[in-house]
Amino acid sequence: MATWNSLVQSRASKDIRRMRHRETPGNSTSLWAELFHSVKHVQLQDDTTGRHARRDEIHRDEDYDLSSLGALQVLPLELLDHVFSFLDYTSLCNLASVNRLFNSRADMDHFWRPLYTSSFENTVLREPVRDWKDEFIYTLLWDDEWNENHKSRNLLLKGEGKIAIDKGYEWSSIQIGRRSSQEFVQKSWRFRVLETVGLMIGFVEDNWTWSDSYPGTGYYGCSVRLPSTTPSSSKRANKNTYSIAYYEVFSRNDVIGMTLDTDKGEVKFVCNDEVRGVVHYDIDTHRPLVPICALCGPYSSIEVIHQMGSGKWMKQEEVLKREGLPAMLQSRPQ
Amino acid sequence: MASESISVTTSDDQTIQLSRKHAQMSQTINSMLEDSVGADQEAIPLPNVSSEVLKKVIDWCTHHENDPAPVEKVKKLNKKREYKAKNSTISDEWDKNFVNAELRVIVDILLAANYLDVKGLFELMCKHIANELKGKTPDQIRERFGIQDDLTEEDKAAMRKAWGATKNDS
Repeated sequence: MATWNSLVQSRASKDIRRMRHRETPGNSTSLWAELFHSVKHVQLQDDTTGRHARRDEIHRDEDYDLSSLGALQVLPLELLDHVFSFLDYTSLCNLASVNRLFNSRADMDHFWRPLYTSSFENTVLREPVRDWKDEFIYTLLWDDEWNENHKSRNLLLKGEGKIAIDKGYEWSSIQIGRRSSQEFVQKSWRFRVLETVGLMIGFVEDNWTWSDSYPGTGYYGCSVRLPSTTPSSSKRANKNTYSIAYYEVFSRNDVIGMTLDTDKGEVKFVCNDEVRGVVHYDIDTHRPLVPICALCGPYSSIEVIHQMGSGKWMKQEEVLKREGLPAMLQSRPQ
Repeated sequence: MASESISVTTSDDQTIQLSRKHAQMSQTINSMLEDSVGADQEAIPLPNVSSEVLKKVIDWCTHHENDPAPVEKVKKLNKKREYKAKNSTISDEWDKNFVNAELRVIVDILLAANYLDVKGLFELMCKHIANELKGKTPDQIRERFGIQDDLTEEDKAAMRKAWGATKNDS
């Protein structure tokens, strides 16, 4: 697989070794500058998306002063890249603001793409809007922002984020997974009910808030109730999003859940692995949806069981198509 | 029959003897030996490795001589590199002690390991430098490695702008 990395390594490492043999301290800077430009040339050639080219244009005609690297100045850039590939995102971000040369290296996709895929395991790879660094940071911010706006002070996630406990008397909601994307076909979440008076599970749009839209737009889910309580409205699936009228009866220790089918735009309710029915349909799944659960009553608690269920992340041929291609080509717009 | 010790000449014109086993841990020397069967009486010139650094490399090779050879899984390795961030933890206690050296020496060993193609040592040194970079603020990194800050105000403004855009648009 002719990735950027291997291209540079095969082409540049020989040159570096050859040059290092005969270089003297006096003329090393010019040799390095020359070499650095040859490496950049490879990068530009190999890049099919144009994003790197954009990043490069900012600095292309300026000379990097390699002596500014201090103790690291003798390292060929390919070795520096190898060192960088061990770093996490905070370190990479810090590196980017150390120095011009570091800035140009630490932004490159071949560090950020693996970081993205390993950090957001629940998020399916999608076409990056800009480049992988931006995509990474955007995903990070997005989830943090949502949590900041929507998480109730009363609701806690305990035990490695697995058990949600409500400490207040009002409804409070919590995000229990990462946002959906168009690329997966289906995704399920399951909860084991431990102790609750009322419970709502579902998906919400990212602009959804309790105050102005409950019961309102942007919520696709259902309420579940204990057999002893009275449902406030009848059991029906609703095309629109104006109410949460779908109720299901459950008992403690039942595993209840929901499944989002982004192909059909449906949310299904599942109880003990048995599909009970479609709760919502005709959902516009082009917008990302956040899976949430909402609990009511003091010390209500549920255990969140993340589960793929029978759903699959991506169409199989999509996966194959992607994995067979070099990283740069995969993110090319169709 | 091939002799059990190999002699090499370092950049500072010293001739150093090392055992064939250790020499073969370096892919570079190994391929030289394979290319020149019968000529192993002559010292192998290593023009860009100093004797000080070479001794360090031999130290490392002595400690790791019985390590299992790295498994060649080209396809899987590629895939892993694509989809997983790498772990930079140094697990071996001896290795931790070994990397506890001056930065100058560390960089020299890394260059030598790259030139001699000693995979394990190369990875170790990269991990060590990565760990040195990890969790430090830009100022601390500059101080630790003696790096000059050549970012202009425009660069910094552009970076801030890019970050703001990441947060607000789409």
